[in-house]
Amino acid sequence: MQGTLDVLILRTLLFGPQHGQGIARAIKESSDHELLVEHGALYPALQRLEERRWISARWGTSSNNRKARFYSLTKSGRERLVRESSKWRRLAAAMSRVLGPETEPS
Amino acid sequence: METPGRRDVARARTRDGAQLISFFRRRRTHEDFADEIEAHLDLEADRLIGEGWTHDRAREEARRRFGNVALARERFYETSRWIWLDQFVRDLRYGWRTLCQSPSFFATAVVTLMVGIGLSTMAFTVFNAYVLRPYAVRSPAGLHHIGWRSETSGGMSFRWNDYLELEDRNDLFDGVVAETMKFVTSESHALAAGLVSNNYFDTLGPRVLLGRTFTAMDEEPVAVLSNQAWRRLYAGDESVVGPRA
Repeated sequence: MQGTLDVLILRTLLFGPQHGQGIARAIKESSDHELLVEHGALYPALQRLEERRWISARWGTSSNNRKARFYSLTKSGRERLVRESSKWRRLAAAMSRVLGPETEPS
Repeated sequence: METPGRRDVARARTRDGAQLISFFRRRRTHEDFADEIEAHLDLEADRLIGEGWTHDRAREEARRRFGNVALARERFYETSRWIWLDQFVRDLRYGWRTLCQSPSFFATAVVTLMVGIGLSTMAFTVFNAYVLRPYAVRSPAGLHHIGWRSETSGGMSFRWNDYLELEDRNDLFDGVVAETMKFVTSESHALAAGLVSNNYFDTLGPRVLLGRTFTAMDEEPVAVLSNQAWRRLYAGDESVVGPRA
């Protein structure tokens, strides 16, 4: 869904600067492996967010001494995340209301 | 496999871009983006090796999980804001080369354009002067010329009394001005002088460059020079304002 990945990225960066590979891993792990991001799709999204000034990037060194491009949340990115989060919460609540309680436990 | 030199260059470039250019940030290079993908694959492979994969299989898996590398690069190119600029510059270069190959065509095109633009400018200037801005007065559209024609003879001129009567008709006009033309000689220059009623400038409101015009308060006759006459007779001398001619 359009915008899903953006929110996931911004949310991940809330905990501090992270490189692309770390973001991909964090999204997968924090969603209990429910959300699988194809790593290749992540980078154009990161580029888009960077051009909108929601995140900023600089090259640095990872914990295992690899060169990596680290992304961090900007002020407007933070604001964007707040807006988008409340939008998604409303959407999720609306969806679960429409679907009703689970009929058969799986 | 490792190209540390190139990566260092890319890093320096990005850092400069972030610090020096705030608004028109330098476009991120393809090399920089490619380096980032390469770094990602290294990191992912490291992690897989940590999970017990062999070196070769870890790299393979990292690449598999990444998906299509070429597609990612292509998307990077397309998301960049400057893609149109790239193409525009290429088009310009191509056009220039093509023109240089046929100079006579080039010259003909330039001359044709010059003549065309010149003619259009001239036509518009004339149109502008005569149609769009016919009179430099306050409201040209509301300006009317009152004529008087008898049935037996031709046109008749207004007499002063006729003017005074018309001037009192505030229900018809916001203001009425009288104007007649006389040729006078001043310092051996023939001049066309407009003798006008004292409310002329108040009613029409043209712009005045220097000095003042006259109002209904003036007892003494006042002369107002047109810009053309001022330049022709006094060569644009500003000191002519004030003294009595």
